[in-house]
Amino acid sequence: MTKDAFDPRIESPTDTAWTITAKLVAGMAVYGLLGWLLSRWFGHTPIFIAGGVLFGLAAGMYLVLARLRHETNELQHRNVGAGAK
Amino acid sequence: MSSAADLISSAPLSCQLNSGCGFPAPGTDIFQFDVLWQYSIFGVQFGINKPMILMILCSAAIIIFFSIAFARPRLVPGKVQSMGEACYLFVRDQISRETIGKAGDKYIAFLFSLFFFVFLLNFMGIFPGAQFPVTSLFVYPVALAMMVWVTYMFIGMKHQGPVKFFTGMMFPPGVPKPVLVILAPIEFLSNIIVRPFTLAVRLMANMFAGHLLITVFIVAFLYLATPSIIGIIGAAASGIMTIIMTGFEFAIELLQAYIFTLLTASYIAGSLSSEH
Repeated sequence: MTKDAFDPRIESPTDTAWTITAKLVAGMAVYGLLGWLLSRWFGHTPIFIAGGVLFGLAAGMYLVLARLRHETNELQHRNVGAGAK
Repeated sequence: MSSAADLISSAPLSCQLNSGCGFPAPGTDIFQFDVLWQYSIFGVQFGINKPMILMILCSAAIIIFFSIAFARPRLVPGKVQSMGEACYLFVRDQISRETIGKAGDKYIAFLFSLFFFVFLLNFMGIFPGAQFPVTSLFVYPVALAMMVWVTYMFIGMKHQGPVKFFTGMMFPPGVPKPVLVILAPIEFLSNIIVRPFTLAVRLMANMFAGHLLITVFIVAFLYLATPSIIGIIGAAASGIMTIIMTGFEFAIELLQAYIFTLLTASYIAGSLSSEH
C-alpha cells in the first residue's frame, strides 16, 4: 500500500470540509453562548444572542479564510523552494 | 417512567414483505433491536441486545485467538503463532512504524487492539448468523473515538506539557495579533471536537450505508422472486448484486478499520511532536 494513498498528514478534502464546518459551528456556539450570558445580564433581551451568533459566524469565516490563506502560502513557498533547485 | 426497553424496542415494519403494500424498503428500523434481557444496578435499568452480545463474542474471540497464538512462543513458529505474528507485524510495520516511528512502540498494544476489534465488529455485518455490523450503531464508534481522544490528549499533555499543548492548539498561524484573542476560543473548540467526531462519523456512516445497501438488495431479491419474466430477471440481478455488495463490503470493512487505526496513530504522532 503506497504511503500517499492514505497518508493522514496530507489533509484530505473531506477533512478540510469537516474542519471548516467545525470552525463555523464552533464560532457560532462560543459567541452565541457569550451573547446569551450577556443578554441574561441585561435583562433577557434577545438582541445579544443574535448579535453573538452573527459575530461568531463572522469570526469563524475569518478564521477559515486566514488558515486557508496561510496554508496556500506555505504550499507555494514549498513548491517554489523545490522548483528553484 | 418508561424503561429502556420501551425506548429501544423495534417497531414492526409498517409494510411487510407479502402483505401487498409494495416494496418494503428497509430503513432505520433495521438498526433497532429488542432488549433480550433486562437488569438493573442500583435502580438504573440496563438491557442487553443483539449488538452487545456480538460485541462480547468478538472481544472473546480476539482474546482467545491471540492468547492461543502467543501463549507458548517458539523460535520456529507453529501455524497459529505465525498467524498471530503476521497480524501483529501488520499493525507494527504498516501503521505504527509508518506514522509514529520507533518511539511509538509502546502504543502498538492500543493500535493493535483497536484495529482487530473494529475489524471484527465490522465483519459481523457479513458473517453468517450475526449479519449486523455492530459499528453501524453510532454509540460504538463514539465510544472508540472517545478512547482515542482521551489517549492523544493525555499523551500530548504529558509530552509537551499542558501549557504548550493547549497554546499550540489555540493560536492559529497567519492571524494578526489583536484578532488572535477573538479567534482563540473558536480554534480551540474546533480542534478539540473535530477529530473524534470525524473519526466516529466516518466509521459509522460507512458501516451504516453498507448494511443498508446489502439489506435493500436482499429484500429486493425476496420481493421480486415471482414466477414471471421480470421476477426472474429482477431476482437474479438482485441476487448477483447482493453477492457483489457483500464482497465489496468486506473490503470496505477492512479499509475502515485500517483508516481508523491509521488516523489514531497519526493523532498520537501529532501529540508526540511539538509542531501542531
